[in-house]
Amino acid sequence: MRAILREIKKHALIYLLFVKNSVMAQMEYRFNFIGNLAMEGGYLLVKLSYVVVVYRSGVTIHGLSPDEILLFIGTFVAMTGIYAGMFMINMYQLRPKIKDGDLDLLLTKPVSLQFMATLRQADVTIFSVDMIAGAVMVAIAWSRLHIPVTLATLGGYLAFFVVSALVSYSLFLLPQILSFWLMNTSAIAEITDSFWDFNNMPMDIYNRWIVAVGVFIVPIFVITNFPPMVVLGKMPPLYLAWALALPFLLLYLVRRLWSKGLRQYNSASS
Amino acid sequence: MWHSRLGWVQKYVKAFELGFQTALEYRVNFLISLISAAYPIFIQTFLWTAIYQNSSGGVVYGFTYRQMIAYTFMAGLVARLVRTGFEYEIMDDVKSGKFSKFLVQPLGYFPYRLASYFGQKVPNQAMILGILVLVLVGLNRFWGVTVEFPRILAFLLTLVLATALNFLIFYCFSAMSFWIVEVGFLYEGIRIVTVLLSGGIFPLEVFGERFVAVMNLLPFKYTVNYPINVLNGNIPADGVLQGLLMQCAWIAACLLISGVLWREGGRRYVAVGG
Repeated sequence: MRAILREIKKHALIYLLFVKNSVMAQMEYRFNFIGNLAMEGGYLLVKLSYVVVVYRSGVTIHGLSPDEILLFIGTFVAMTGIYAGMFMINMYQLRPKIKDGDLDLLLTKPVSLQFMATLRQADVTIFSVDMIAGAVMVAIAWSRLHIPVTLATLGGYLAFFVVSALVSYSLFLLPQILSFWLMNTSAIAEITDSFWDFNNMPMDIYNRWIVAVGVFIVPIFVITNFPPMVVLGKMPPLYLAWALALPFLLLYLVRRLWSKGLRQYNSASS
Repeated sequence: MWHSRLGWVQKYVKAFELGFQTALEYRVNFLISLISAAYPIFIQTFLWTAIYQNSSGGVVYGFTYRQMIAYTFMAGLVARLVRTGFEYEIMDDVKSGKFSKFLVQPLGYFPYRLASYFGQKVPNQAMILGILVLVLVGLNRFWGVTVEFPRILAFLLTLVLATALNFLIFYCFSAMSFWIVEVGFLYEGIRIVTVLLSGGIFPLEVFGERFVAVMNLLPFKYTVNYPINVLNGNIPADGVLQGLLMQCAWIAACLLISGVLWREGGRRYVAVGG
């Protein structure tokens, strides 16, 4: 147990160094920082246009009021900060790393290769813009819905937010691991990446078959629907059990596939 | 005289052919990008269906359900039709110094880019127009939506002008490459905002009358929202003519602005090495 805790502490410290290095690299090219800000601001504007559509229509959609929908969209925006700011950049770079044999150097380090290859870089601009915007939207919705700030509501929301982050990491890493077998997975990556936007609106707008597929088969809806559902008291027990089991299941699957894939890896040097 | 003019045309026909071949070379990539373009249409269709199901009246934002779904499909396709992408190539040309060869060769950079852009657009537009025809046939077959032949002709004309206008808008923006080295992220931000302002995501009416009034004066709506409204009959005949004039006026204005920006930018261009 103590060894596990030591490993976690070591990886947490290394992760902080990764973030620090990423910030330094971004600050080196300051206009990149502004450009990034403009890009993420643009995407944020599009997400906000959905909020405008919902509020101006003033319609309660399948039992969800505009304020409740804002809670879902705010969660989606904040979770986009986690996904695009912490995971996506590494996942995009995994394919060329495998193709060009760039994992060689990382293999020699006394740290988990998966950790190094999939979490090494972070985009602090994207992370900050989306996290702040998402948090503001969630706070506005929370206040307008008169949801009490208690350990149960806030703690439940944050706990499911962590579950969502783990699910998004695993779910979007899975297709990228196929790069160990396939030379070009850009097509698969582009299609799966677009799946992210399905969370732009609450899953209740889709029909029940799509919801079932999105929760249990390709669990994309778990990512941004479950935290607000917990707070709004709209979480069925089946979903609750699934949300608790899913991160472990997906992380196990990722680990197994990663280990299998690594055996296919051919070193570029020597 | 005649020979030299023929030679001038031939150069750009070659650039057009090169663009055409590039588009065909990456046709699988284009098809995949079409699949990813289908997601927003899919999400918005479900969103509008949910809104109309729960709305008391049959009309929301001045659109009936059928009109809104038809708009959603057409907006997704038309926004893809007029989409550019050459601005990243310009950024690379300026950044890497490849722009220098255009300064010494008897080739104008603007006509070269324009010819190449239209060359790339032809196969892609043929594919998207094919899909658009299928959508219109489907709307006619299942919902009885009819589109008169003159409207189709007017739509095609506005579409050509919209493609040219979007090219010029982004040609103006691409001059930023002379001032900023890494401008790629900024381009992406500009692209997504222009898609929103052009009505490529939601009809502009959704954002209120004041917003529409401002958009009527800017060039963006004439690239997506206006051609769609011409096709679906949302604007009367005199409105079509007025829109055509606005498209032409903005094309002329963007030509002038791009000329100024590129002249100023060109002065800042520095090439190192031979």
